[in-house]
Amino acid sequence: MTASPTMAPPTTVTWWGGAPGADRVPDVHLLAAVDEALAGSGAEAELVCTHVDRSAAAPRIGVSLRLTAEPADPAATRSALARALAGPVVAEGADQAQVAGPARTALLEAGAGTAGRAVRFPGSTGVTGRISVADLIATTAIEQVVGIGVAAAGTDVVHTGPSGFLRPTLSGGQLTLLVERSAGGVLQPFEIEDPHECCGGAGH
Amino acid sequence: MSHDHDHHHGDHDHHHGDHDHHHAPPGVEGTWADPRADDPLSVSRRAFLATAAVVAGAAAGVAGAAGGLGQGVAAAGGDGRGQTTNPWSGRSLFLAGDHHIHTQFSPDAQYEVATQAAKAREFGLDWIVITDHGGVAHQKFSIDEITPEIEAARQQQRDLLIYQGLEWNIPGAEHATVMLPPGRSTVDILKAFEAGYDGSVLAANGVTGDVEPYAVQALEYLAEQVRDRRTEIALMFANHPSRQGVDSPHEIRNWRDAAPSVAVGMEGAPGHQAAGIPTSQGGPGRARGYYDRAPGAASFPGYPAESYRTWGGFDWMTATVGGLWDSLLAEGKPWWVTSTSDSHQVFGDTRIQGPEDYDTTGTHGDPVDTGAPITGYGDFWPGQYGSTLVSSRSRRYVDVMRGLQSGQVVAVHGRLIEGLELRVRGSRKGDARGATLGGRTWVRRGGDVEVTITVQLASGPNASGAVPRLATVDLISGPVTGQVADRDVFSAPATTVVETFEVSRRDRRTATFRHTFRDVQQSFYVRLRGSDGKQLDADGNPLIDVVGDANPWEDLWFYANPVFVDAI
Repeated sequence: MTASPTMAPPTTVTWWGGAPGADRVPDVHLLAAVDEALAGSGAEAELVCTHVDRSAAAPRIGVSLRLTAEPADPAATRSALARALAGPVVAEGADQAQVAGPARTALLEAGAGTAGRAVRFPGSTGVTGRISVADLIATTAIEQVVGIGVAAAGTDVVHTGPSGFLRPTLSGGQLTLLVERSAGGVLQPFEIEDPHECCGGAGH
Repeated sequence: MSHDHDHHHGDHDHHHGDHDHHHAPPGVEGTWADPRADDPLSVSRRAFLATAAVVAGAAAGVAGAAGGLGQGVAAAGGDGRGQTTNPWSGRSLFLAGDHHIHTQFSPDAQYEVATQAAKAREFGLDWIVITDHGGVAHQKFSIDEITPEIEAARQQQRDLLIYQGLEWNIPGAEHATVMLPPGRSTVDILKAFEAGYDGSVLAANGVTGDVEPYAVQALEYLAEQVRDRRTEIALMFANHPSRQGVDSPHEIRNWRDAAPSVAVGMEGAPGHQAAGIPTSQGGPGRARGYYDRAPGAASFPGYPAESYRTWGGFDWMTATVGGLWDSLLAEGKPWWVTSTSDSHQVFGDTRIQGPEDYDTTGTHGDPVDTGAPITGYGDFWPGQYGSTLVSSRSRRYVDVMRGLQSGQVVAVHGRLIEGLELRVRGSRKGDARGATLGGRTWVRRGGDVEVTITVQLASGPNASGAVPRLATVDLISGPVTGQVADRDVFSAPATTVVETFEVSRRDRRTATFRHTFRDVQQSFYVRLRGSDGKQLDADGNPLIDVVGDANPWEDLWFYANPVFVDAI
């Protein structure tokens, strides 16, 4: 796989980690809360990942943000983000050692590229419908495409659906999209937007 | 994890005043109201009052409490002979059934009990279990409503055993079948169990966090009901175990070891087998088994991505040679696999859910016929595609459950086989009679073990109209290595296919195969699987099912449960 130019972070990487409240965890709520809190700060969250923190008996969700720049007023923006997420937010740096739990897990995993599920990444908004594996790597921050039960070649086509739903994951320092075979000889993302809901969606 | 069915709102009153005991004579010892019995109030109190921390502490000693079946140690008897269970008789009565069926008393299903029972008979089943989803409305309303319907269906279908059961939301994990034989306390046990231990009911009562210990307590509760003779037998099977990756290996081991006579197995193949029929063939075009998820927060992090899909229609835990199922068997302990329909809404049926409000009534009412086939439904009728063959002493409720409990079970798709005589015996220096499915036999070290397999082939078409043809039978074997140090282990690398038998096209009624293990030095187990040979990889293993392109009739398998051989 060739390295993707768009994944290359800004020269000064600004990572923040947060511990969103349970009602902020769904992707759409999370992104809305992040964007609202960052509005006017001079920074945007270009890579947003969810992380699973297993430091307590029951798993909790953390969120990592890679910002496009240092906010003009970091303390105020951090407070706004903490309010929006209904949970603590920690910036990369000296204070992170004092924060335990999901925010710290998110920061550590994202920084090391070991885990995390991207709900937004550079290039993600430009993708809908069918796209080749090579184009996906060339035009988005996705660095590799890995097939489950199938080998994914650069010329293979990934059907991302009408809304271009993609949730690549950080693994081994690379933003990786898992794909699998689907009907019609194309690939589809392993995580889909609308998995079957048992009990009509009332459960889980 | 927390996987719940939160279909119900409002009333959190556990010990409600609705004591309509039409099913149990008044004053019978061990009813819901009887404080000397299982004391459902205390069950409820546990649910209400226990904090996660307290419960976790209380359950810490659970793992060492296993007893009864399957200690996994090859122990010679006092006379220097080994022990045999499920001794071979050569006269198996296989009864086909399905332990996972929903009705209009589930929030996401729709049929009358009578319809499911009639369809089960139509497709040749001898026994079924009605397993509507646990939840507040189900516990409060549905159980009482369905009980007379099940009794009526038993009168209508004299040749069908109809068990009353529950699809239990295992606290911290997936769903499971809980089944009981008919008895005067059956309904009371189910109600108390659901009130105290259903994951959805617990969540509605604010019990969250690490709820895994509740699952262990729940199974111990069922075992207590058997010990107290409130029921002769109670069984639990973990359903669709790999669907979301939330049944971790240690949870499965904890269930098994907490109540080895109750928690006896899992769906080797989940239901919803029509879900993968392509849209080009008029199907739903979803994932076979509705196995279409990715890992989530509650998933066991060690499971690989491919575990979230079916393989030849079977769950990854079962379909992987040397995988999770084998890692359980390598401990020398029982854990059986089955095949079910999980029938909610049937592919091509014309009916939709009835109009009643489930949350406030516990039922949808009778389904409404639209007159037009609905292609989006992904299920089969009970017995239409999958079945669980059980060798039973008789057509009695408790005997069929004893057959399930003792692992005399074969999981079959599409009528690929109709029966299986498996005989494993110490042919030299051992138990000359031997054991059959789910059993245990023995051989002295250095002796020989002979495996004889006689498969009853399909004698007619399956529900697709074609006569299925068995192409291969794999004999799979692995050493029994005893208790695992890491209870999250899910591989048994020494388990392999030791021989593949080709079924001759000349074989009509039966096909017989033999294999001999010579100079046996170590305890081991054997199990079988068979295929129609249409979708195999180079090693004869099943293929991962393609989402939206998995015609189940073109990919048929059976999996038979193991026989353990003690080398003594």
